[in-house]
Amino acid sequence: MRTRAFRSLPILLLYILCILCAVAAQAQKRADPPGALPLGELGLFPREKLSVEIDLHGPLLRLIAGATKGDDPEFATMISGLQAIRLQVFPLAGADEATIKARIGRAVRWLEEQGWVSTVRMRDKDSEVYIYLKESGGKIVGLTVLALEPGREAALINIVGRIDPAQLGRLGQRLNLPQLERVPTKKPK
Amino acid sequence: MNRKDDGLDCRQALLWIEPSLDGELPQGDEALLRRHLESCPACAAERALAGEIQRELRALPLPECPPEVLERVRRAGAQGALVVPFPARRLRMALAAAVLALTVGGGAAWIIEIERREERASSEAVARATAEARFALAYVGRVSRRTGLELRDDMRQRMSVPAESQ
Amino acid sequence: MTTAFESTAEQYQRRVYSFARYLLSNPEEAEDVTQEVLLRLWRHRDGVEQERVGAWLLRVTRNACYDLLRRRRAAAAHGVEVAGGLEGEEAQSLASTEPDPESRMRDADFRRRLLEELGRLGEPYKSVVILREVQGLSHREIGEALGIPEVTVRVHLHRGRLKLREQLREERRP
Repeated sequence: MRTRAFRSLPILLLYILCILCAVAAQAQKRADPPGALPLGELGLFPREKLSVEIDLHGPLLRLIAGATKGDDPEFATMISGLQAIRLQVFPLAGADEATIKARIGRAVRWLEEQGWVSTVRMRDKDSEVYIYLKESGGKIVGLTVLALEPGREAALINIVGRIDPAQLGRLGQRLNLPQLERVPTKKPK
Repeated sequence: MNRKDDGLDCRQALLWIEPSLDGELPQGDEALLRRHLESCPACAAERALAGEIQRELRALPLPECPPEVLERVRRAGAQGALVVPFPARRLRMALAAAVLALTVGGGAAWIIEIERREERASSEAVARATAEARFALAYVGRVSRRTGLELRDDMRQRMSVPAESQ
Repeated sequence: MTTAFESTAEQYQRRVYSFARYLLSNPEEAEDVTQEVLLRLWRHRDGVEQERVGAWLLRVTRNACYDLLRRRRAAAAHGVEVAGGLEGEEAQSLASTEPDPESRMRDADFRRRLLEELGRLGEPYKSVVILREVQGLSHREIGEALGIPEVTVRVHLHRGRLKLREQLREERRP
């Protein structure tokens, strides 16, 4: 004879499944917000050969915002709205540029297939630059820059979170790269 | 030179070239213009050149947009499209959301504990991360400077995202 | 996406793309502009009346091309050379073909020069000349598309044609 408890078993299994899904969804949500690029999947540059790799995520960004709000409030405000900042720089000296160009082209196509909006596409003899923005729910939630300077380096920048392009541009212009080139690069894990 | 022939001088003939090109010159005026052109090589050359330019421009092709562009538009539109569920589906979704909300506590607690561990990072690690964040933003600035491009507010406008939503 | 939108996009893609192509003289940029314009139509699909879609698309296309041309000028001002001008391969690919090999040989140079000069023609004349002579729109349709009175369309068309003649007169002198 079937008891009421036995009849509840499918519901209990569904309940457990929901718990597992909730946990997985929460973890997944941290890893892949809409503005984030799946860098592993895209396989743009060989990680072991990167000259610069920066991969900063939510909690650490909040700490940065807290630490800088006193002396650089605009920077702190911008950082506090972000979920991730990722930068990969790949030196092209001695590398197969054609392959890197093809991978960049593939990444551009991937971006467009995923609904990223092209705001800049520029190609000339000195550089290729692609800037894409991701919109979600009426907000800009992702920015991706793909840049290639033949003979020098190629780079991918992915910024995830609440983005104000003008603010980002201002901060980027204000920060002088040569002053920061003494920053030791993060070695790939 | 300004030849006058049967009441039409060069100045007037040159003015009539335009409506003549567009077929808007009345018949009588068209005949007057033709007569002037027969006796004025300069105006005739001008009319001929104007006509040749128009013929060449009208013969230019109207290239088709590559199909992959339309395909990307279709896919991007499909991604962004909101599918309005039927009422029954809404109800099921609401029930599922309620169950998830009740059960997410355990999983969320696990995630929060991991995040708390990250938040206890040393001040040295924070300083390093701050430098890396500035470096990354400066790189964006470098790309902008090298290419003469600017990240501007009109990028938001191009995406039709209102500023106040930021 | 709705079927209505897809059929509208199919109906107007050629007009949008070819307009952008002649304005920008660059097929890749023209593709980007076309994509952006059609996506914008998708986002505003409920706000654009069906009978005004053609004019709306042309105006948005021209504005998007203007934005791109402004960025090109800004890049050029920073010493970066960017694509521009109907030259070489692009002029060749857009030049009309004549069935008669002799006339093709005779007129190929003129055609290429015409395309180059069209590429160099400034606004607002360039848009009007392209829409009138290449796309075959009426003065009224051009006025609706560009948001200017019909009489202004005629003035711009006249000046554009005059400029082209001025540049090409030497080419044709025996």
